[in-house]
Amino acid sequence: MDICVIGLGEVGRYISSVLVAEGNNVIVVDRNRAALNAVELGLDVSTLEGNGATLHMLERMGAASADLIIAASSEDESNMLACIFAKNLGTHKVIARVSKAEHLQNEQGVLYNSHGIDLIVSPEMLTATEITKHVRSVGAIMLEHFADNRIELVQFDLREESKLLKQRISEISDQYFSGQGVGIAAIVRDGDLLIPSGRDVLQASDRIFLIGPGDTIESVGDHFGKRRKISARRVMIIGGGDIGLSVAKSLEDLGFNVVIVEQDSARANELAVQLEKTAVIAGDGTNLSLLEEEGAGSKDVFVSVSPDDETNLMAGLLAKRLGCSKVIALVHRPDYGPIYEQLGIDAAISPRLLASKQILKSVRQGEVVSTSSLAEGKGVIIEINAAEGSPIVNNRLSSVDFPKGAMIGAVAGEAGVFVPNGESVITPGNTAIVFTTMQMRSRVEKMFSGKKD
Amino acid sequence: MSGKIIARLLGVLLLFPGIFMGICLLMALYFSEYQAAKALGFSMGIVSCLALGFYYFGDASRDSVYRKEALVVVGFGWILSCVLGSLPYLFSDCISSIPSAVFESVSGFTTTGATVIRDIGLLPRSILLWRMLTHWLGGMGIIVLFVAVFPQMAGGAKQMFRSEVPGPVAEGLRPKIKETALTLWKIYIFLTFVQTVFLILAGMSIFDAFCHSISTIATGGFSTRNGSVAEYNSFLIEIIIMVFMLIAGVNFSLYYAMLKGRLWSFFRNAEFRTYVGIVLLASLIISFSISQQHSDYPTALRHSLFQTISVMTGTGLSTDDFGSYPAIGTSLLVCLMFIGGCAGSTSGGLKVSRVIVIFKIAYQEIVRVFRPQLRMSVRVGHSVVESGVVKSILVFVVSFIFIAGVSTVFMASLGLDVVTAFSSVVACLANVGPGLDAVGPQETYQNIPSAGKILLTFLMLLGRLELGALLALFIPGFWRR
Repeated sequence: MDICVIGLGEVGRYISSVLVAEGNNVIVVDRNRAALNAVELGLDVSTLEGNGATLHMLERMGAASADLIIAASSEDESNMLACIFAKNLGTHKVIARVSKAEHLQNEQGVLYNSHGIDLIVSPEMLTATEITKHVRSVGAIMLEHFADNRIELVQFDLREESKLLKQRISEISDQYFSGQGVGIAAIVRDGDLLIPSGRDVLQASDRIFLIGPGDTIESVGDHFGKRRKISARRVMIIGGGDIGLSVAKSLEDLGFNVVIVEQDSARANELAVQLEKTAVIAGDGTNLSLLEEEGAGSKDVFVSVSPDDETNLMAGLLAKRLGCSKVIALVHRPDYGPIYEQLGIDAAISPRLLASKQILKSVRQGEVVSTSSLAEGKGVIIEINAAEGSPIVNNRLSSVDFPKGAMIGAVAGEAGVFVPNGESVITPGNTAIVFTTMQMRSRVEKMFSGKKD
Repeated sequence: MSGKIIARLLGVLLLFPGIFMGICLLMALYFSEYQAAKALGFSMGIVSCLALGFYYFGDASRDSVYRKEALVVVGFGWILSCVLGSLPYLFSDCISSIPSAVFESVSGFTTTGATVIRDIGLLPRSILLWRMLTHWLGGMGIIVLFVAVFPQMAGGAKQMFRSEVPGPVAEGLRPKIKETALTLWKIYIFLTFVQTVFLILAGMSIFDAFCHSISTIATGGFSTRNGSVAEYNSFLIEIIIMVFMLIAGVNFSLYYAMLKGRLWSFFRNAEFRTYVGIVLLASLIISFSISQQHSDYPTALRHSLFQTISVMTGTGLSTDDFGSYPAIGTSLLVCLMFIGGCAGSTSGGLKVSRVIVIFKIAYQEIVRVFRPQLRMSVRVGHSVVESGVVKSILVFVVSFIFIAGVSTVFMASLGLDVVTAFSSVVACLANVGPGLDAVGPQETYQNIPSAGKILLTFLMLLGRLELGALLALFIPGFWRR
């Protein structure tokens, strides 16, 4: 493929290196000659110096015949402009990176097919969404909607006295929910994630994830025991930037009890205006007495998302020392990630890495609509569109070599929602909700992709 | 400051009382009330001469009005209208002393509804109508009418509009202030019309129905009967007046939203919900306290509801002598006088949204004692009140209470007992009308000494223009060039 990458920040560099490694022809464009030189030394790319958002430069990089242009500079408006120009010149696919939330009409951080731009990715909003999902998946709560809210995922703890114990899943399915379109998607047993097959047997204190159409899942769930209720829990956020604000907003809407700490006094006042239920504290998030006073140790989740890596690390470690069990920290330099986790941070999240992965995914695979993490990140649920010509489509599922450790929980098509069995056939354009362990994820995505690689 | 443009604007403004006097004059001629006709004719002549004089002395070649000019027009416009409005009472010998006549006129324009006339039944109908029309002009506001009817002036119109519309937030319903003013007046006229029709259907005479509708929608309080609404002794009439008093105490911009199809804006509006909540709670408490005074509980509830709504919205119509209620009832009613109706309505008092803000600030200050680093924004419903507005609300409420306190001392020094002194001050400042004891619903303000009447007259104007617009004229720096 002929690909142009505009802007050599962390996102641009990372994407270029991956794309080159996959054998594509990559041209990188930046206004800074020194940055171009540095990239040229390590990567097999050609470079162009100048403003990528001008028609002149776009013509020079061959936008008319390019397969893909990724505008990943730090300026939102030039990125969007470059993409719109390129699309008009005839580029097959264009992707823009933006920071400001107002450019995206949603909170997810990803926007498809807007104003001629195939994909808009916001690292900040992606990060906020990712953090929110992480926080939600901690402990008890789990309830997700898929396929435009037609499919629901609900979580149950299996009680000791349940009549479903010691039975095979295939028997349970026949007996209790045949024809209702409901299925067991995943089981968490002793902290491990299990994607069950029909032969697996349920045990006491299993946590069960049930998937199916929203209206029937309620009644079926009664067989399993107490439905886990969504209860408000306590979260502390350090740093009230765009990411902190966005996370606080989503969490307060979900009924969480949120405290946000922001150092800048004027920004703290602004947060108090924007956030209705969240308590806004003006102060330093690395100040031990402040953290103690606000009860950082007794929070269910501690999130540090300031613009400064050292602050995030220190605040996170202080919270850990005060007794907080789950600490999520933002890491701007992806290299620091492993160190964070070595030091005891439970999840280090890098906005640039997230954005890069999102962009690469849309380049390589069939269309992933959304992803959610399952059981504290051990598994993942992906909502994916089956592409024309992909291995999964137009065959009975029993004859498809589907990866083990992954399971298609439900399929939504024009006809409605169904839980597939061996005889089911997925047609191109159907949306599948797939449960998979982290290791199997890329293989699952390939099954739905129309491209051969 | 340009005296000429002020004169021109005042000249135009005086047209309204002039025209309304003309209407009363026609009425007097129709009913052959020649004494009143003479009085109204003279008054109208004086007003017209003044208006013309101002108009020709004035000059509008420079068409922009600045802040100071706008304030002067509002302040003097009100004072002139009120003084000239007392002329029909004086000329017709209905009221003989000048302070009493001015008191009655100001009470009309500010929609207070306090009266010095002992026997209303003796008044000619045309003079009664004039009393009512002062309510109507003052209710939605003479300045708002002026802005609505006359061609757009640059800048000043907004300032003038804000000085007159009560409440912390004068929301722009329309992009243009002239259209906003016009919309408000249209809603006002429509409500008056609807209530008149209802009251006629309920059995009132056309004249009485019209007068009581004006009195209700303007939250005024003048009646055409000595015994106010109680004289009709009709449950249906009381219900209609109750509902429309409640309606008049609601922010008029909500009716505009309703016209635009946003029906739910009412119930989402935090001020509206609080307002209704206070009315219901207070009338429940009062109904229990007076259940002994009435034959059965439903009657007690009906009277307590009427009196609560009437006092809270600053109307002052009555079906019962609330002056004779037990202390818990009377003290609660005085509190309601302070609170008043919603911002942007025709009611008086502090306004519910200001009270909400004061409570929120108090709560936040208490929380800050143990959590000093917590940042909070003051909200009414979901919308944030800016810190500048919060400050001005604080100042307003403190000044309001301070003025009430000082005035009470002054009234007491004239030899009035403390309940009369305090309740007369609050009832006038909050534009309610009847107070307690010697100025209770069954009494009048006739026996208040002249010095007291002058003070109360000033308090009514202060309350109607929400302090700032009038007090600014007394600041020496205002008049310096």
